[in-house]
Amino acid sequence: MKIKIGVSNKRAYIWNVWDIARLRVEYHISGILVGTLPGIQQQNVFLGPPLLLLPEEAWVLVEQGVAQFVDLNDARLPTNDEINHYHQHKLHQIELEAQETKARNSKEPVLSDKDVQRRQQKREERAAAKSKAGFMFETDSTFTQSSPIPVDEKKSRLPNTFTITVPATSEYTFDNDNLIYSDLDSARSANVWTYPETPLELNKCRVFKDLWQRGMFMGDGIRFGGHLLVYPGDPLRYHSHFTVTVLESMSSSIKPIDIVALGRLGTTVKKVHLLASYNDKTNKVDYISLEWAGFGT
Amino acid sequence: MDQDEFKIAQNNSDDSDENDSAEDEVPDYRQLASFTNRKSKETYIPRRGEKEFEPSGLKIQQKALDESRDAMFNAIDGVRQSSNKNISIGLWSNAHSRASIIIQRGTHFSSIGHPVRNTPSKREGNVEKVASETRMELLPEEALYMVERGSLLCYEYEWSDNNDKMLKLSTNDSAVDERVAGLAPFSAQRAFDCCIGKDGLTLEKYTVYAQLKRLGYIVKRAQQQQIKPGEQPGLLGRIYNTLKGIVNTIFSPIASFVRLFNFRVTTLLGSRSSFLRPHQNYDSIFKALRLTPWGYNDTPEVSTRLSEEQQHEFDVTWDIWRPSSKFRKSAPPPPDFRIVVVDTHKSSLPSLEQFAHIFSHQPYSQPPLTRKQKLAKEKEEKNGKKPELAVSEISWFSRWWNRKQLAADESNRKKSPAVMFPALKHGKRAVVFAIVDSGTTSWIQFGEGQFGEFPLY
Repeated sequence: MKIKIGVSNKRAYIWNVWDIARLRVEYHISGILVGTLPGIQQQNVFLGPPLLLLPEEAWVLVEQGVAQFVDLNDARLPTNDEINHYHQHKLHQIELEAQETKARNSKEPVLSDKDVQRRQQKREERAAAKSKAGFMFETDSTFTQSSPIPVDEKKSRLPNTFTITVPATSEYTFDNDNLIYSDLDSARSANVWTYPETPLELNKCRVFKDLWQRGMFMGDGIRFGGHLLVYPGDPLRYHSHFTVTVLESMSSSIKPIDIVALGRLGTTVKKVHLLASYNDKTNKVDYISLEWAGFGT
Repeated sequence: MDQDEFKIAQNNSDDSDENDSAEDEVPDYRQLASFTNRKSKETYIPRRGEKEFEPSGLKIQQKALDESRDAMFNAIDGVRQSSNKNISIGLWSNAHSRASIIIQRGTHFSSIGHPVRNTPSKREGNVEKVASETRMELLPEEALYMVERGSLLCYEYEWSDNNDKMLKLSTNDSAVDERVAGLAPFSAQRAFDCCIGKDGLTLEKYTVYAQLKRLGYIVKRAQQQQIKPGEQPGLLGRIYNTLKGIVNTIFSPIASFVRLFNFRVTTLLGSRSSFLRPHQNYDSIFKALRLTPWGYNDTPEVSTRLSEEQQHEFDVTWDIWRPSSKFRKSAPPPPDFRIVVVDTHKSSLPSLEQFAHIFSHQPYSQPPLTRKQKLAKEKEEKNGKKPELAVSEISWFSRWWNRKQLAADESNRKKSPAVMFPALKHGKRAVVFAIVDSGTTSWIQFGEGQFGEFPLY
């Protein structure tokens, strides 16, 4: 089963946690989590779904037939059945929760139906007696209030306290076959996914693919001043070794000042800086590594 | 070997374990467990954890990796849920790009949302009319943030106008639940799909918004004119612009010459008193002799040289306030920082003219307090006294009397390195650029230089 990449506003998102895990473990694609982590919202260190894919990651995954694009911006509306199902499920969950709390709060063991009926009867009799001799209980009003009165049970459909869940995804947005694009060309012609658009972007994709096929993990390079960061293993456990600057073509010129700057940068962040470009003649990616030679100092 | 190269060499010889841990990319989710299990309420920032150099095929490494991954997948599989006592209920409309709040709960609304007054409807026979009331509407970024942090449950509904009964405020969960029974829920995923792209909200802008909100800052859209793309000036306007352009080209050299001359004259005139009275100190002499203008005093002219698009390319996106500031939504104080959001792949460094234009729209900021002043302020705040300014110790009379002395003091004070360098570093007016590359943000502050105000003669 292909992994579904949700595309909205030309960005590639993975919402399904299982897919996020699969991409990481099976396809060494890490992406970037950009959502607020459910449960611990006031921090930026640990984030949660959605997983935002680098455009190169999404490109490689679809090109390799691992994943397919789903256009989320054109999603259909949910059917009435689906809506009803959601609400019924929600009410059911609330009911279950209410029963659980009730069971937890009441010290008595679970009662049989007969017992429940008897109790109900007794309660009604007591209530009737109370209303008959209402004035007698007026002084005792705090007591009567605290006794369990099932006042609104028929009127209100929800208990006083319950848990509300904000759904993470809308399943119906992913199942429309007309909005699923399994290859890059159809996605491009439908204007759903148009990356790469420039020669540089195309070269970035090719360099990414080459490194990916060598088994590397890649991250976005902006933290260390390049286009890509290259990790020898899962970024969860290992440091990156390289930063990569992708050049537009084999013949693009680089000023010496930029080489010095990149060399300095690589040394400072303790990574090797690579210059990479796709070689049209050999159909391979060529790499040049910059190393700071400490002559004369 | 010069000094910083020596430092680098030293760093290289360090163990790679403590390698860039503060800045490194992906945190170790195993650390999260220690964060969630903590019972004390003291603030605690989770650590990212240590990393290794490269996979070496050892089993212990694989075990650690598996644990990290498990911790991560467990953490991100969490559910956005909360008790009905602190979750709000709202309706989202794609046509309006707004979320309207029906049940308002929680503390977020002290800084989020804006009130909308429902127009009172006319009485139509015996039909119950909707009373005029204010309800809360959320902008796309606010709605998305609230939904994805699990503080707001929205349903998708297109309301026709402000009188729509579906919008009526309520406090009754059951009644509202019946009201929304036929509506589709607005999941976090739908919120990402629907809110981004509306009202000029890009993923970059939202990333910055959410990061700041998660840190506790108060974030609002900057109050600045919105760019209206595609709006061309009319024929007359175009003719006027062309003519103005021609006139400018002809006269600008003359104008700048005149300005230079003028400047000289006014400087001399301004120091007329200095002609009459002998100079008191070197400062005034140098001031009188100063010829070169500095700074962007003629910004309106600079701005006209930019196209409309160039002018608005680096508009301030977010105004932000520190969490502790006393913030009132109806009358917000001047923001503590102004953030311009920039997409790494779509723009380059602003041109000098654009910088001049950006700064012309920023208010002047107070120079940062020196360490001495800061310490004094903290001490006084601790003692419960209001921070007193040094100047106020002197009565107005003696101040008047010592005016000259004070001016000299001031210029001396400005020359003290403790005052001068922080002020120079901060700049006269400053904006912060948030540079976003798919989810990662770098923050850079640009300040307008003010070397002219700290002369070293």
